Amino acid sequence: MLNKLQWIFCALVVLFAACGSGSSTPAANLTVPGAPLNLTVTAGDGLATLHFSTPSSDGGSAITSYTATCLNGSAKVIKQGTATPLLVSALTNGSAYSCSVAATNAQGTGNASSTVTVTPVAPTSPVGAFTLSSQAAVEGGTLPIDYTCDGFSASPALTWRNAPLGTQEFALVMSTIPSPGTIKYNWVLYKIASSVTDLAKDNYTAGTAGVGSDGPLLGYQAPCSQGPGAKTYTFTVYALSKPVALSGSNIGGTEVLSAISASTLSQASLNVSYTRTTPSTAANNCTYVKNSVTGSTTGTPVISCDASYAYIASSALPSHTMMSAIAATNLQVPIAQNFWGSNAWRIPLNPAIASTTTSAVDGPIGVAINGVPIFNPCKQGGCQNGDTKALGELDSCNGHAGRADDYHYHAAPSCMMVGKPPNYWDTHPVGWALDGFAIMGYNNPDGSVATRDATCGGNTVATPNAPAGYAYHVTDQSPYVLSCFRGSPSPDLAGQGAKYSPIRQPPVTPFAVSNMSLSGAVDGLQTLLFSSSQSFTTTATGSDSVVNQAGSYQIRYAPLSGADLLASLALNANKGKSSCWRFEFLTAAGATSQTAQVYCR
Amino acid sequence: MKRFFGRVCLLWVLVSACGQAHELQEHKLQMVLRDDRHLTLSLWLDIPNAMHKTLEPSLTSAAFALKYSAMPLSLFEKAWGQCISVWSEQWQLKNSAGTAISSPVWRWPDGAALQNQIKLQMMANVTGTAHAHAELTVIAGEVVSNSILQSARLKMPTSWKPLMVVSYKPLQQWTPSSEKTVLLKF
Repeated sequence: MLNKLQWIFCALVVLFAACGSGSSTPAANLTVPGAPLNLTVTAGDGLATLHFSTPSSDGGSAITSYTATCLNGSAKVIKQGTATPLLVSALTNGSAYSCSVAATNAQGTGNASSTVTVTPVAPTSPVGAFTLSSQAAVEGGTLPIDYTCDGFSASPALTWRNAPLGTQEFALVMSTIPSPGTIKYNWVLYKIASSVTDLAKDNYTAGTAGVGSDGPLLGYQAPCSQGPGAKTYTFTVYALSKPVALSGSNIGGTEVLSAISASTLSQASLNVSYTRTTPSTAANNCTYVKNSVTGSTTGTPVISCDASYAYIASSALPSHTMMSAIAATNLQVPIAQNFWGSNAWRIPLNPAIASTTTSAVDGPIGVAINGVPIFNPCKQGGCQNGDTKALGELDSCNGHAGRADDYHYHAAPSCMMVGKPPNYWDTHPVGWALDGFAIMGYNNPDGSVATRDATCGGNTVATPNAPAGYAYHVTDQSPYVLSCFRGSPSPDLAGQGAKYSPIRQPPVTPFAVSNMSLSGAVDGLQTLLFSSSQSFTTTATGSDSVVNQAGSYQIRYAPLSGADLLASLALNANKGKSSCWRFEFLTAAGATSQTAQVYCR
Repeated sequence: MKRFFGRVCLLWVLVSACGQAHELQEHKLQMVLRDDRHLTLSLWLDIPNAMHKTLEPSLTSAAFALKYSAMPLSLFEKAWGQCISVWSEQWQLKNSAGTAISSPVWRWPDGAALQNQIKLQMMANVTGTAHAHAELTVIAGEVVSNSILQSARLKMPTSWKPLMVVSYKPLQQWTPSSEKTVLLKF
């Protein structure tokens, strides 16, 4: 716009120059942009998306912004942007809006485009109805025993499809009506991410588990009706328009359903039924393992079962104080381990006393109910290296960190046990041995101090909440938990090394027998003869040379039997072992180089 | 012949199975700077393996185990002393100025204990197929530097490698009885 002074100035110079808009240099006419072209509007859930083309004229100055306006009576919603499309939100679904767009440059805002009327719409299922299904059972079908307390109490895999647009989160509730007017929640899972559309069998990763009606255990509480006849169980998944605002503990089905009532966009259900049957031994024992973890106040592992094993999954980091009051040197900091999924600890579900015992001299012998492994009492490498507790290597909870920075107990998990009255452990397992038998507290179920047999450290007293046949008992004397396995151990005993992460194995030198001769039996003795007449010289640093010990040596050994074997096995150091050999150490010429030695395993 | 290969298999276990163990099977050196000049060392070492690599690398590990199990203790102790000597010379720790820091005082196991360890490993492997540990012994050591240590460069014996070196300076502060609280900074 030209002001008055400018007009006067222009009048004075009109014969010579064209008047501009304040500039002393003549320029093209600058003006506001033209109206944007080709406006189309798409309706959404409470929103409109405006697509348009740039105006035919920018008014001689670059367009700096676009303004979209949607009007419904006196209600006006404006959205600004720098390019097409513009998304206008906060519109009322079902109300018609007249929308237009205008361009702005340095000179101002131009005319608005033509108007397009649009009506935002509430979300609807994109394709078909919102559905819930399971690989375990069809709608109206029977829930397999595996998913009940008569089986392995596994939570079923679930799948839902066609969630409505705008779903921000899911919640899942499994309920039953045990009697008219009552409702029982078997499974409450909320805060399930909107990206989740499937739950795996025995899911423990998706969502936040609430408390079922059989509390206090979080997570799936398998059908376990006390009444006769078939019971119907309903799984319902809720699609929510906003994240549920729930926090704290003891959140159950009632709390979740109340919290999501106003934000439920849609829900889908699956009805199944189950009639109680007599559980198998494995199923019973699975229930014992699952129930046992409710006794832990220092960490709760996740338990799942199949026909052979209970799987104890955890990070093996208890919530009690760790690494305190260690008298010996141990500067490590325990870190979480990955005992999850296929690396969970396997506890046999059909334990039985085996014809022979199995040595428990190596590493883990069981898992405490807080998910922390329990080791034998010995230092790495074997009991000849000492007793960890006696050497002051254990903290005030009878645990410490190993070289994988893994926390584990070497004796009774005392800090875990203080979470319950002492007599609780007379009837409830402290942990589970790798052969499937329970590790109980100090006493028998009647409160009397448990007699620990000389074989492995347990007894056959019938124990509630634990498999029949045998149970180990903790004690304050070495070996503290058990000295050998009465049953057949889980594969995790032999495969223990691979369970720890990161897995680093020492380099292995290929074996060769080029300089070793192995003869047959000589006088009843196997003979391993090594002959070396060479003097090897290694140059380690360029200046240091080492002359090795030339010489020829042999080792002979033979198994012991009869009275000799019995005498050796009777020694305390050989408890739990079954075979012994006598070793002789000789020069090649047959002269004794060292005292003979008996070795048992 | 069949029995011969049976023995070979048993002996093979001596080498191949010793990788299995319940805890981290890696040589590890932990260095904790206690104060400005004082380092506490903890070395987790498969000593027979490192000794084998140092003294008689041309032998198989099974042959090494047999030979050093059967030799008289006096000879073994001499060999063990030679091994420690080599390791001492291969160890170099220099401060940031490139000045060598005095050698650690290590508390090595004595020869009899070490030979017994090798014997047990050997006996376990020739009498069964169950795995035996590649036993890592924890050796403590101390180093005191003449100068303040802010950084250091370490060269370690080759037979200890691969070696995981963990080094840190703990934060510690005295809390006088007059103080009710202590501020911790991590």
